[in-house]
Amino acid sequence: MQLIDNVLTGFTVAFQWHNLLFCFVGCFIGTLIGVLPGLGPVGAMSILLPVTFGISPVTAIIMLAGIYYGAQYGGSTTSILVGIPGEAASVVTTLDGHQMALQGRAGPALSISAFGSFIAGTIGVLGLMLLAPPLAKVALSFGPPEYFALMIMGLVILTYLAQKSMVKSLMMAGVGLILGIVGLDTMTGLPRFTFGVSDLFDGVGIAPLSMGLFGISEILLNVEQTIKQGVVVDRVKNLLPNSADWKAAYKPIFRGSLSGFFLGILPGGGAILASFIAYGTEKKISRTPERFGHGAIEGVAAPEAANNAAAQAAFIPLLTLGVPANAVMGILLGALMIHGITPGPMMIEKNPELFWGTVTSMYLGNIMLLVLNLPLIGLWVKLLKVQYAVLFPLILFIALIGAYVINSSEMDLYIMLGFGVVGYLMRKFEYEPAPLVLAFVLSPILEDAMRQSLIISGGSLSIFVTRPISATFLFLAVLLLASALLPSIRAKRSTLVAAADENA
Amino acid sequence: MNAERIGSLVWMLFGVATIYGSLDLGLGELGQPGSGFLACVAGCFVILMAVIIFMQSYRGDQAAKVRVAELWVGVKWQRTIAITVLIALFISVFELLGFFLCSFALLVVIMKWLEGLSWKVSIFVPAITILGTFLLFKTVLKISLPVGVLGF
Amino acid sequence: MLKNICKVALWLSTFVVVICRAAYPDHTITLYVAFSAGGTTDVTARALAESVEKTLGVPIAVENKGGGGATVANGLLATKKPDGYTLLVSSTGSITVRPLLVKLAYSPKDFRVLMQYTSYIGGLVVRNDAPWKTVQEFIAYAKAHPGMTYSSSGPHTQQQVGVESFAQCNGLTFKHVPNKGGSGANTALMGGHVDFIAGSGSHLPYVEQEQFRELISFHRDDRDPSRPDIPVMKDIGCPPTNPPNGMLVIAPAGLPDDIAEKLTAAFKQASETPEFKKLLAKYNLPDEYISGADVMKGFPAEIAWYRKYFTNMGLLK
Repeated sequence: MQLIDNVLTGFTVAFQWHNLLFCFVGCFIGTLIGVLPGLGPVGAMSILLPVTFGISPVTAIIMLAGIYYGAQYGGSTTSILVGIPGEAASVVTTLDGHQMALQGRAGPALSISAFGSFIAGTIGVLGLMLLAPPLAKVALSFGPPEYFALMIMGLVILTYLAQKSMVKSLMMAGVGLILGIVGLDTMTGLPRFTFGVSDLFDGVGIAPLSMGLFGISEILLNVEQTIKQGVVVDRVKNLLPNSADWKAAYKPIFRGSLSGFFLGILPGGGAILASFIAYGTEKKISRTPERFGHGAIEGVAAPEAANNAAAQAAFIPLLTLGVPANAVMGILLGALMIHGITPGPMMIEKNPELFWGTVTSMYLGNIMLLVLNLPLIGLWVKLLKVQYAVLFPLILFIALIGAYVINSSEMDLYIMLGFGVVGYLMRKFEYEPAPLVLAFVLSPILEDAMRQSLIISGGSLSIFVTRPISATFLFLAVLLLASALLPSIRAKRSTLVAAADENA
Repeated sequence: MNAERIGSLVWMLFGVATIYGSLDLGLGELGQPGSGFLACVAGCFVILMAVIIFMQSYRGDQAAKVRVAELWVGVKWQRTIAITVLIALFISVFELLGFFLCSFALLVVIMKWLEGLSWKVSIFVPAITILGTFLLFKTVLKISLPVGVLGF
Repeated sequence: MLKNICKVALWLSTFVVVICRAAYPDHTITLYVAFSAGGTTDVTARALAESVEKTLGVPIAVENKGGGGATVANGLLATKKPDGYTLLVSSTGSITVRPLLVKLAYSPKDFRVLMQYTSYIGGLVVRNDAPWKTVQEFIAYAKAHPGMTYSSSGPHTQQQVGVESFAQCNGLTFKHVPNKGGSGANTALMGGHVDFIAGSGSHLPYVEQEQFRELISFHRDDRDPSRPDIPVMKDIGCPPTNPPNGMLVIAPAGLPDDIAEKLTAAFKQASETPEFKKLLAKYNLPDEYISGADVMKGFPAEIAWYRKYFTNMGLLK
């Protein structure tokens, strides 16, 4: 039938040798970009954009796409190995992934991340092939009130991230919300909390912020200790996950893929949100949530699957409607325009080989990435055995350069250092950075959505509950919040009752 | 000085500063929130949480009784300060003196002076890493790194 | 003896200076783009850079430095030396209009404009399935239903001001729902969350694909020859909207004349190639070259227009 024909057309395009070559080049560069903390696919793609001028549009898109989803594979590497998020979407992976590395299980962590990404990528491609047009319509129906409700739900899930003190984590979320406000106000165009620094007009960068809070702070903490040998001592066991790992991880991978895919379609939503929600969901569902944050493999599998599925899903609005879901898609849009292709609903009909060629090439790209990343795991694990005194200056150097080249900005480096110090102090005083980062990401979307909704409704708050999707998400948020608080209320009640019994 | 209390006071200050800034931006009203609305709400929330933490620090168990000084007992905090200062210096001259000079200086200083590694390692390893990174960025990624006043 | 040495030294130094000056350009020129990669400004800037590279014989390194609606890049350029090795592709509005509203690190006198190669366009855009087929129908409906919602690529952008001018002329009130950039506005319209948008150029592919309909074009004095059925402000009896923003190639102020001339000539040549004209046509951008001097001459009038506009809106005292 039609679908099989299309897929076959796609494969004939994808298997042309120059498309295979550029797919590999894209995946390779993407992995490199992902591994290098700081620099993201946007930077690399914009620089390589001129390279695409001379080649055919299909090849150009295949290469650029390879860079994008390749970066999602590589991003988990530094997160796991050294606790510095390689990509904004890999922040969550540091929570459990780095803990696993410290326990000598870097190999399984990296492998599950690679396999999970592959499975998620494949599911994503399938979804892209089968569900693209109807899903795109669903994405369009998300207006400001729906985004607001979704962000509220995201904030509630944030409470599940708390490991130690719930109050402290909630406070960190508040701080994150405030940090997200720094920059130009979308509504008025005027700067807020920028203290006259024009570099802050676009806000605090998520990359320097998370690299500082997670990575630099860890370096600062480590230099205090007398660590003579490698970070991971001699307890490096297998490189591959054992069967217990697989049993624990396969369901989170599927769940993460699904949630990542659906969240990735939403313009502006994206991989970061998907990875946080996947992690939070797993922790909530798990029977042993206290393992999370201490090396639970589900905490690596789910977010990694989610951010890869989200990366594939982000293509849907672009390829079916011509709407870019994030900055990366914006570059692809530009690339298509340069080649004379107008993205939109007609594009699939007018240029079927472009759509199907790209989609099938993504499937090949995922295979290439798996083959590329798995052997590297042995190499990465060996690196960890290097003496920390030699290793950490190099990590620091890579982090500094990586953060600098995002925007050629000195300010970004100061931000990274500043938040490194803040993160160091936070860890000393037992405040957790993850809720801060999630709230920081949610803050601008939440605020813009709220204010836009109220303009549309003319000031009436009912808009949030009269629209079905928005009302559903808000209802879910209330349910999730209640289920998080009820157990502690019940516990308090039983202790009160017990105390009352004693005194009686 | 109790650690929990000092920590919460710092965040309380942060919250107060935020609210102060948000009032400048204008709060608007519930149906028409202004520029500073969310900042004010979040700032109040942070202050509330900080107050709760402050109260909780008076409860009986061990965890709340940690003193600030204890957090730095038995650790070489001078090294942390040294590293921070070095990084700050690096950033301040990075664009002025260029990629090669600053990176090399930073790495050699840390490895030799701070960590006490041998000259062989302190020179050799940074040299290779810096060169490799430069090649990577220049050829594969085509990203330019700062050239200092000295021309390289 | 000493006199001879001094003479030789003087002659040598002049020689060296002349050589240095005459040798412009002798190394890579950095061309910043004040907007993110893949956007209209970026794509056109890169096309220009490619041609200029061939003309001048040195590499041109294109770097994106988007942010703050071009204000970050402008601020950066103002700090650079006027030696012809750092240039920027930016927008007129960020230089003339923004400083009126926000305290910025630069002002119009910090720059020397080399040339303008096109201007931004804008129009009132609705969905194709909307009930208003002509601008007159739209005005009639808007009069009967004040408070229609519209989105734009940001507050006080050229196109949003265009919509407000349109509203002022026809006695209408609209509710502006700001967004971050053109694609955000396009998405909002596609999903039906707003009634119309202030299209900023990125809406054109959708008009082509018959998802959107442009009811009226702002910022033009005459109808677009390639789309003659779309009226302009003159056709409905309204004064022209705000002075249009253009895409400019600028350098720090104080750039020596000879270098400026060399650069302008190279860029002008690049903007006149058939490939570039085709590129502009693809984005439906007008192919108009305005010399740097003329652009800067127009600044005072533009600043005055916007000062009046913002005072009327109560944003300036």
